[in-house]
Amino acid sequence: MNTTPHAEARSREVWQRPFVKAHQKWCDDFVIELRLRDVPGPVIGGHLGEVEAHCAETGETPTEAFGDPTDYARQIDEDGSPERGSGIWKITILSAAQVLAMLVGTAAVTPWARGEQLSYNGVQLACLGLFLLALLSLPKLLSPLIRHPWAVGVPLSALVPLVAVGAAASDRLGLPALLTLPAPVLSVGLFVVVGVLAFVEYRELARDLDDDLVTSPLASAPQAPEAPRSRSWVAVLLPSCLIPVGYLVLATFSWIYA
Amino acid sequence: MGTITQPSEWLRGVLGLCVLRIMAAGPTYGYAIAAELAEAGFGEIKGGTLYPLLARLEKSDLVTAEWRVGEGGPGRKYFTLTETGRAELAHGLAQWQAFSTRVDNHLSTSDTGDDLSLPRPRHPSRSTP
Repeated sequence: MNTTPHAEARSREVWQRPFVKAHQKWCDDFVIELRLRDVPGPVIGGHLGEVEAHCAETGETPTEAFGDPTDYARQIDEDGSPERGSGIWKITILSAAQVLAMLVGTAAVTPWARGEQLSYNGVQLACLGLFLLALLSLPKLLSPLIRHPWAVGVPLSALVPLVAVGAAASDRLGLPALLTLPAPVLSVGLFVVVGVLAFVEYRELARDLDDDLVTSPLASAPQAPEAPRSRSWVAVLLPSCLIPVGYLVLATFSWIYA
Repeated sequence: MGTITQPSEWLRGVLGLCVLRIMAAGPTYGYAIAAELAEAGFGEIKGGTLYPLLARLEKSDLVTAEWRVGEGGPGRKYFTLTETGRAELAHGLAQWQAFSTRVDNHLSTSDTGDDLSLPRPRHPSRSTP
């Protein structure tokens, strides 16, 4: 059968293996911890292959032989991989820049429609800075966010409306403008910036597509069904297109209701 | 028994050397290494201890690893000692022999020739200032 390297990699994904299905919770926690540490998919699959091979020989469960999956993942990746890129940081910086450009660019649409300029007072600039800081710290917050979604996720989600309300309320206080910018140039220019950044992000995500798959070095599981190829491309296209599309939608509504 | 006299604590320091020694006989895999260590009297070495050590040896280029089709199992990762690994083993063995002789001499004799099984108060002049 004629298969592409990517289709072949998909057929070797660890999630197809009966061992992983039988010990799903342990394997999930192990893979999540290594993912958070930016370990490439095939390397994670190799470590999981060792666990499966060892348990097959000893008859032990992963917990009996290797203990807690998160602790074991930290031990096995103690020194980190020297070849590891700063993938999570690159994507975060690209996404944070896009979100910031979208917030400023779409905020400029209403003054543009009214023939005014976009101006920011001190509180609004501080709110923008705070929001950017929260976005940039997401890679560090990812691990606690996954482990304690309520304790960390709720305050983090509450930050966005709080910052937005703070910025809007300060507008009514009549504070002096610290920064005044030409609205049309900003709206159009930042949309172009968002488009370029989205393309760079798409390239970055597509390049790591095979590295994203957690493939096993072990012999393929019999009759492993091949996952549809389109799914992975959706996973690349969706995050890249989300912000440009969001920009257009927000800008349209801002223009209509200006 | 205190943790200071636990053989498992002693093993922690020399497990890498023992694993390299097993690999000197030829390519082998995780479970076989654990079985050989148990047979040698080191007790049961859990996967959670052994595989991170094997990963460190591989990362330091002391061993190379290769997946092979398993006999009845899903597959086995075979580890082979590299030339650097052999040199490290020879160096480690010499270091260990010198160290164990020093420890042995220290534990089995005293400066006065007393029997060390009998507790002896520390000499005041030797106490730490």
